[in-house]
Amino acid sequence: MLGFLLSRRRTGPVPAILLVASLCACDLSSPTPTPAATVTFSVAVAGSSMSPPGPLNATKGQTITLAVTTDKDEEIHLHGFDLAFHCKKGIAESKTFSADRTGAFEIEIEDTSTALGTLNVNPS
Amino acid sequence: MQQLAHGFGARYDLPVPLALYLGAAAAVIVITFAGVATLLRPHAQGPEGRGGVSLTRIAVIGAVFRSRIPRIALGFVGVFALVATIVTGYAGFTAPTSNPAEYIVWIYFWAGTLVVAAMIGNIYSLLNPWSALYDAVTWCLRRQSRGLVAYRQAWSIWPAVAGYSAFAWFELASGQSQIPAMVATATVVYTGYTLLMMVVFGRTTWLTYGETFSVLFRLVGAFGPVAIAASGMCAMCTSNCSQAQSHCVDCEECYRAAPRESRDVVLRPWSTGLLRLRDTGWAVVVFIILTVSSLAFDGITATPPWRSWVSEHLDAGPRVIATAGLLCVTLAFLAVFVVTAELVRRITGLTEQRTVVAALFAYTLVPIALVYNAAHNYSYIVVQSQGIIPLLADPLQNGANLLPTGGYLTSFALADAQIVWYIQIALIVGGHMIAVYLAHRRALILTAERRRALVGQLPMLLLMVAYTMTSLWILSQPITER
Repeated sequence: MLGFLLSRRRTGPVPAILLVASLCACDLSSPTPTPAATVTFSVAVAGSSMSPPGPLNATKGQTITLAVTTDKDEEIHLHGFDLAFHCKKGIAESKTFSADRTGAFEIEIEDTSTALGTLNVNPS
Repeated sequence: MQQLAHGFGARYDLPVPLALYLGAAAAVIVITFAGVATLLRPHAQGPEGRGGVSLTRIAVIGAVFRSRIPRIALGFVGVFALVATIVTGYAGFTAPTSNPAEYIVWIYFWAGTLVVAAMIGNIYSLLNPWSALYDAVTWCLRRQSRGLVAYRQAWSIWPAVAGYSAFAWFELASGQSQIPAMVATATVVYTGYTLLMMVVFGRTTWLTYGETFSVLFRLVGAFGPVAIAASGMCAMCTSNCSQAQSHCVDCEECYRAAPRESRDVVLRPWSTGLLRLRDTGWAVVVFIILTVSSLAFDGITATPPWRSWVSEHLDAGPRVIATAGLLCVTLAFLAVFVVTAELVRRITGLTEQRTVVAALFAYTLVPIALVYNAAHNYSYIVVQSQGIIPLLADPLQNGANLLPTGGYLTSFALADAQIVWYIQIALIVGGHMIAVYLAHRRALILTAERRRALVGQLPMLLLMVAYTMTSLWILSQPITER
C-alpha cells in the first residue's frame, strides 16, 4: 500500500525498514510469571461505585470467578462475556467462566448503564 | 457515574502497552526525519492528467460502472438501511445493544462506511439514501428541480460544517445517541431537512455544499484509490471541480452529466486524490479540523484522566461538560492549525491567500484523521458489529424468527489484544507517513524552490507529529507497564 511512496527514490526503503525495525525492537512477550490457572475477584457495589474500584486484571486462559455483592436488588452486567448477575441485596452472586478473549470489559449496573469499572483480560 | 459513551456500548480495547507506544513514537520521529531527507530530492509534478489508471478498459468493469446498476443497487441498500433505522429505532427494544438502529447508524454507517470509503472509494455517493429517494421521486415525476433559490458562493460548505457539528454533538455530547428512539428522530429530522434543501437549492448544489455526509465522504473518497472521472464536462460544472483541467476526477456532477462513453473509473495510489482537491476557504478548513477534533475528543472521553476529571466536576452536568470539551478541543485544534498554516505560508514565501494555503494544507491532515478513526474503531467494527446478526432474526425483539441467526454468538477471533495493538500502531504510523508525504508534495506543487518548501514544512511536520503523538497517547491510556 505504501509502495508508491518509495518509488523513484533510491533511499526510499529506509523509512519502511526503520519502521519495521523500531516496531520489532519493542518486546511484547516480556517475561511475566506464568499466571495461576484460576483467579477469584470479589467486588461490592454500593450506590454507583464498586470496591475495589478496578480494573480487575486477569490473563487470557485463566478461569475467572467473579463474586458480586450489591447494596440493593439489582442486575450487574459484565460486557464482552455478556454475563448478568441478578443480585439480591447483601447476597454474593458468583459466576465462573473461562477468560477466552482479551480486552477491557466494562462492569455496569444494567438498569442505569452506570459504569462501575472494568475487568481487563490481558494477553498471556 | 453516568458517562456519555460515544454512540453506544463500551469499547473492549486494552490500552496499548508502554513498550509498543514508545516504539511507535520513535518510528514517527524517524519517519518524519527520513521523509524530510528523501523529499529533498527532485520530485514528480502535481497530479494532472487522467488521475490514475483507467479501469474501464476492462470491459466488464466499464459496462457495470457506466450503467445505472451500482447506483440503483446501492441506492436500495441505502434506503433500506434508512427505513430500517427509523422503524427499529421507534418500534424496537429500548436497550441500544438490542436495537438494530444503533448498529446501523453508529457501526455500519458511521464507523464502517468511512473505513470502506477510505480503503476503496466514495461508496457513499452511491449509498446516499437521500439522493436515492430524491432521484426515485424525480424519475417517477419525470421532472427535476433546478432549485427554487440560488445558492450563494459565500455560503460555501458552511451548511455542511453546521451539519457536522450537530452530528458530532449528537454522537458525543448529547447523551441521546444511545437511545434508539432519539437516533430514529434525528434520522427523520435529517431526512426531511435534506430532501427539502435538495428541492430548494437543487440536488447537485445541496450535495456539493450542504449535505454533511456527501461533503465528508468526498474528502474520504479522495483518499481512496478508486475514483470516478469524466472528460470534457468541467466547463458546465457548477461545483468548481477542477477549473482549468479538462479531465475531472471525483466530481459526481461531471460524471453524471458526461455521456456514457466519457465516463471513466480510475485506480490511483491511496491518498493522492487529496492533492487534486481545490476547494478553499475557511469553511473547508473548519470542516476538516472538525473531523480531526471530534475524533480526538471521542478518544479523549474514553481515557481515565478525562473520566476522573469529569467525575470531579459532575455538578456541571455531563452534557455541559462534554459540549464544552468538544468545543474547546475543536477551537484548540483550529487555532493551532491556522497558526501553523500561516507559518508555512510566511516561511515558504507563498503569495496565495491565507485561506487558500490553510485549506490546501488541511487536506493533508485527512489521512491522520482517517487512520485514527480506523484504529479507534477497529475492534468496534470487527467485534461489536456482529451484535446485529442475532438481531436480524428478531429485529424488534418481539419473538419473531425471520432468519436462523438468533443464536449467533459474537466471535472475538479478530480482536485479540496483540492483533489490535499492532493494527492500531501500524495504522497510525502509516497515516502519519502518508500525511508527511502529502504535505511535501503539496508544498512542492505550490513553490518551485525545494529548499524553501522544505524549511516551510517544518511547522507542518511539527503539527503532524503532535497530532499523531496525541492519537498514540489516547490509545495507550492509561499508560501501564506491561
